Amino acid sequence: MLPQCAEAVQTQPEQPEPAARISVEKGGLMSVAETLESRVEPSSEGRAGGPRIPPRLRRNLGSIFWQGCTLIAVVALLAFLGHNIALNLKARGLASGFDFLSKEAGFAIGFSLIPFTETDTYGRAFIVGLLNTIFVAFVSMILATVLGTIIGVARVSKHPPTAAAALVYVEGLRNIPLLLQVLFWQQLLINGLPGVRQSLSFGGWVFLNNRGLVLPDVSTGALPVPPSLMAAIIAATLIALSIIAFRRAEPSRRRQVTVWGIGALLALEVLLATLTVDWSRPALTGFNFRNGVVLVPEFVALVVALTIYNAAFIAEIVRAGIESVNKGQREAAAALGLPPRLTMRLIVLPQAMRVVIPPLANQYSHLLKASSLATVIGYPDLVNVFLGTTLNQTGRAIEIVTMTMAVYLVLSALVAGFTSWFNAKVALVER
Amino acid sequence: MSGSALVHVSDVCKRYRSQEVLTGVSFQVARGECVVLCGPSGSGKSTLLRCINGLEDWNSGEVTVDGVDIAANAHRRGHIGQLVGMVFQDFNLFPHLTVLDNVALGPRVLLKEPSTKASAIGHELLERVGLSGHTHKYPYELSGGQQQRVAIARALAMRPKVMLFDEPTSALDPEMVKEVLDVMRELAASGMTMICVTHEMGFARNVADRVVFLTDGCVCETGQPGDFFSCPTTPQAVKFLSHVLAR
Ligand SMILES: Nc1ncnc2c1ncn2[C@@H]1O[C@H](COP(=O)(O)OP(=O)(O)OP(=O)(O)O)[C@@H](O)[C@H]1O
Ligand SMILES: [Mg+2]
Repeated sequence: MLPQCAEAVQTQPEQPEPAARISVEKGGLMSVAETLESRVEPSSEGRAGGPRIPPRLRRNLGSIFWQGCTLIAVVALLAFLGHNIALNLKARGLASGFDFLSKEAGFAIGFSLIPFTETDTYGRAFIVGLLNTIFVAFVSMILATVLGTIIGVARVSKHPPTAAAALVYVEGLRNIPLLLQVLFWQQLLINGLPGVRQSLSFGGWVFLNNRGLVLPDVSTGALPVPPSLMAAIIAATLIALSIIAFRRAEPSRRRQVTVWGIGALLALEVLLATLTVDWSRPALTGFNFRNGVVLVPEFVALVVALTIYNAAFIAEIVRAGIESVNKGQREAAAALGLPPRLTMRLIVLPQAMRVVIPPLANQYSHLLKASSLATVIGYPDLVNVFLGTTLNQTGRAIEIVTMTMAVYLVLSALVAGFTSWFNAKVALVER
Repeated sequence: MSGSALVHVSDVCKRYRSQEVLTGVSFQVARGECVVLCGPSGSGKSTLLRCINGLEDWNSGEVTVDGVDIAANAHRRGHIGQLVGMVFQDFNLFPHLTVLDNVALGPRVLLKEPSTKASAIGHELLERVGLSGHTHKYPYELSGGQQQRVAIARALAMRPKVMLFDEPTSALDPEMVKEVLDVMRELAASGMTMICVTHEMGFARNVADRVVFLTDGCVCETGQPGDFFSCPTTPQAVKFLSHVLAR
């Protein structure tokens, strides 16, 4: 029995049949052998009688057949649904299609990254909502990652009060529903902060009041041609030099070369920015601020809530990552002479990365979807602008719901793709 | 106390909760001396080494290296790193750094050498341990013996005054033991002060200047390797040697 079984397993390597697996657990080796034998038998008959088909192809034909059946079934179902929808819409005299995207929206949006007025189209409203979603999610992801890392490191601190504070933060905030936190911050910002005239000032450049957060504005005056041309030439040269240096550098020094290259480019940017760009300081005139960018309270509340809530989860992810690093690594670092802070930065965190990134990708995906809570506090994200106002006004439910779902799918896929690319890069250096 | 002694360990006691691990250990290591520390399992050898480089604190007694009080300076890791180098049983190389970066990290980050100089130090030490062809590999690409030689180079890169070895060959396959012992022998010959915990009695006999035998947390016997192996004086040492040499 046993040798036969081994043989059968070898000829059936990549078809983990659930039935066979279950019988492994239930009936032990004997019954596996029997199951496999009974499955192998007909194929050997076929081999003797019919035309010779290689076993691999034979198996593939089977799976292709079933995949084909499934595909046909799904397509048929979708066609049936689509047909019914079209009939129903027609019966009720409702229009369908995407032509509404080019029609005038007729509503205003309170916060927008690109200019938008009532005379713009629904299509542009879609873009505004999409950008607002990306903006709030992106800012929250970055802040939550920074805050979460700090709290995760504090969580494993040797200093008991620090570790306790981090524990309270994590346990407190991850166990309160996010919706409540969003509403809490919105109420706090609107009712808890002073009015415009009594704005809290941060160094005279940044102001906080119950109408939002006022930041200095950048206005790029028209760049005179010679400096911008010069900048382009210098930048191109710098990039070329960096690439050459990178290629020539020993692998161990490449990171350093990259840092220097990027540093030089950034320095150039900053230099040009200070030379050509106007930072206009917000100034209070009458009842409002002039010369500033205003981030509305809804945006600030949403970012604060998403950041604080997700940071609690990210802190746990980071802590698990840190604890996954072998104790011997810290000892070796300490024996070499690295103080705890450097050990964390140079030895522990880079190794924790490998463990941290996959769950971090999950958290980002959650954050992105949770940003749709914007609707409840009136921040004009995609769901609010498109699935809300636009749907109400046009009634194109199917098109709008589909487009909105597609956006979240694509954005989630982008986040997942980026993190898995990054993970592959980090993992490659590991093992 | 002789002026030339580099490491002074005097009356060190260490408890883990109620368990006495070190019960008054005293010994000295002279500059350039190679001492082999041996004793039965659980006698406190590793604990003692970890006290000497301040990885572990202890309850009473004093350890000084080159006149520096280790207990008082335990929080100044960078300072101790330049006094005492340590090689572990299971290598503990940094897996996310190349072999060269493992070695150059100390000079670059702690000795504040410019990175070209740090790399040069790394190349030189890797050549010295016979690994100049492997500088850009990652630790997992090397055999155990090669990894342990990198670990030795990494410790040497801090230019320590004394090197501690905690069973550096115990995790190795037999055929790799020799390459590590050869590096250690050469290091001893070059005048490095060394304290080695090892069960390699051949190394103790041929290379060590002195053997310190530890039982139950204190120094039980100490002597020239020749004397220690041919006529041990204490019954514990006799028993230990009969076990070890029978292998
Ligand atoms: N972190 C710790 N907590 C509690 N007890 C410990 C700890 N580390 C070591 N011990 C105890 O201290 C004693 C000495 O341990 P140590 O590792 O120094 O022995 P050793 O001589 O190095 O033994 P071996 O030859 O097996 O490595 C042992 O009895 C051990 O159980
Ligand atoms: Mg030990």
